[in-house]
Amino acid sequence: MIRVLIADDEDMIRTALAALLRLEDDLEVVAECRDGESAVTEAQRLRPDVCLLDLEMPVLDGVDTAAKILRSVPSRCVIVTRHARPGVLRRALGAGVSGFLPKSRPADDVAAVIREVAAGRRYVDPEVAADALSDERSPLTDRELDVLRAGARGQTVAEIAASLHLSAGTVRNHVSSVLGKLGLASRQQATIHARERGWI
Amino acid sequence: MAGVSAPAPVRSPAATYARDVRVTWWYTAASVMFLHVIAVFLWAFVVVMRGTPLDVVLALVGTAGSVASGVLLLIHYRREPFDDADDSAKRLVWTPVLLGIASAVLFGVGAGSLLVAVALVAQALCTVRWRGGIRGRLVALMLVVVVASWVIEATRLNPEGYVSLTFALPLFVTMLAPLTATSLWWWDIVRELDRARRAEGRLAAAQERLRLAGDLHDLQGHHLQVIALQLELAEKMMGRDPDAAAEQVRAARVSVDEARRGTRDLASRFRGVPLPDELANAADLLRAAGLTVDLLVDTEAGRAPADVLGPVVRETTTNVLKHGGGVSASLSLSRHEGSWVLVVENDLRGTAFPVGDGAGLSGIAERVGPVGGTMDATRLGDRFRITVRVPEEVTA
Repeated sequence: MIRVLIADDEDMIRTALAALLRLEDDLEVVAECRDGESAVTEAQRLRPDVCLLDLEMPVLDGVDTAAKILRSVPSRCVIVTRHARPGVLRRALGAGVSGFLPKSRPADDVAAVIREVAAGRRYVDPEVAADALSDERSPLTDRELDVLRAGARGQTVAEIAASLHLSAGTVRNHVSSVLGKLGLASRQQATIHARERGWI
Repeated sequence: MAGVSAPAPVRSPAATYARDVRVTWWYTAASVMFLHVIAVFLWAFVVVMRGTPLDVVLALVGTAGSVASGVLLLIHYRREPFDDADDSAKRLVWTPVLLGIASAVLFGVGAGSLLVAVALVAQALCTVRWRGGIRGRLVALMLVVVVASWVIEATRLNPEGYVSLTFALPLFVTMLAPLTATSLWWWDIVRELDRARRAEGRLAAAQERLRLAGDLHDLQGHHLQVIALQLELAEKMMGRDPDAAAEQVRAARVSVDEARRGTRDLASRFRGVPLPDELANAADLLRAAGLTVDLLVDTEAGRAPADVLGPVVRETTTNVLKHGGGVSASLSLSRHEGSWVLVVENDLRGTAFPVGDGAGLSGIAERVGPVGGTMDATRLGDRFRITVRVPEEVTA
């Protein structure tokens, strides 16, 4: 019996998917969660074999939830998403997620992936992978991305400089180089641009 | 890691244009200020040499005021919105204009010259963005007035004054206002062109969006109608013939899948990246999955047929990711004897699955066959290698 936790903030989809998975003889849905936080708590309490996590959840998204679960529980995580922004797959693989599939897959396929993953294999849906590969390359260097990431929550140049152990002047140089490459006017715009493309 | 992988950072064309427009402004402003400063300093110099102390003070205050008003007016000119309906900026402009006129009068008194006073007033008035049609007439009028005051001053008012010293002195201040006006007019044209270029880009994007919205509506509308019919049929048959009803429900599910695939194809029409980027993305993904990746890409790889080799990269990368377990992989795209050669290799490490499963491999062969390419899969110990060759003449 494979014990499964499902987390999705859309009630209709979560209950329907749980009902369909319960029809499979070898799967047992042990928890249904509406957000990432409760998924982490439930996972720590119930230690399921596989966690099926929706990517687009408020507060803690699927990848962050998976990272937290994987740090504390020997479960395997599968991310389900409606629209996989390319950078997400890279983040998910980096976090140690075992499976990634689009929401459009029928429940039979989801069950098959859960079995694959429970058996220790990895599953990345071809559609998601194709999206990730046809991703626009970031023209920014790693350091420039670090600067954008460190300033993503509206931190000042001085705060970014402190967190990256750089001088304020260097940070300013990186920012102006980023703006030049992207043809944008402000750091906020650059951050949004980079986030939309999954670079940070 | 070997070979060429990271694409050189490129400045977007939009950024280059924006920079060129900025440079044009600085060139315009610098030349206007240069002329202004030269004209005023020449006069101030002769006043300092030959005037009374009071004249010198008046002339120096006039110089400072005139140059300051020139700078302020140029700053204002740069910031002013293009829109004629926006009057909020107009009020601010009169302060530097009045400063310019007052300085011109002081200077004129100090230098004892009608010409220099009139010419500096004209300069202040010509550094304002007047509404369409006014500027041309104003500049012509100012030129006439300035030349007239030169003539009057030289013949009647003060024939022995500074005007008679050297020809350059009156000529510079006379030309100041018209040259400033033409420089700024030129700058306006550059700005207008830049704006038109941006508007064109926005228009093209808007048209593309409209077209996409239309396509999407047609596609979804059609599929939803089919699905509604199939479900209606299933509902009616439920009681009488459950098997037939189930068949209709299955058909509806197939329709949903078709709709989804169509929508996806529509969206992916706008994607498509060059092959080197696709390979770099593949290497990134594999690295994120914990593999050591060697990437070797020919510098000319941008010319390789992406529509043939792109799907091969996707298929093989997906398989490496899916079956996991490996610790290293290598991707290479090179040219050899008139062919593009794509080699994807990874280790198996106990997994039973090779890099491409049966269906995937035959899919690749089907894709490269029609363009005269070949596909070859080999197993060397615990490493699995897929080699795809496509003739160079095939263009993307």
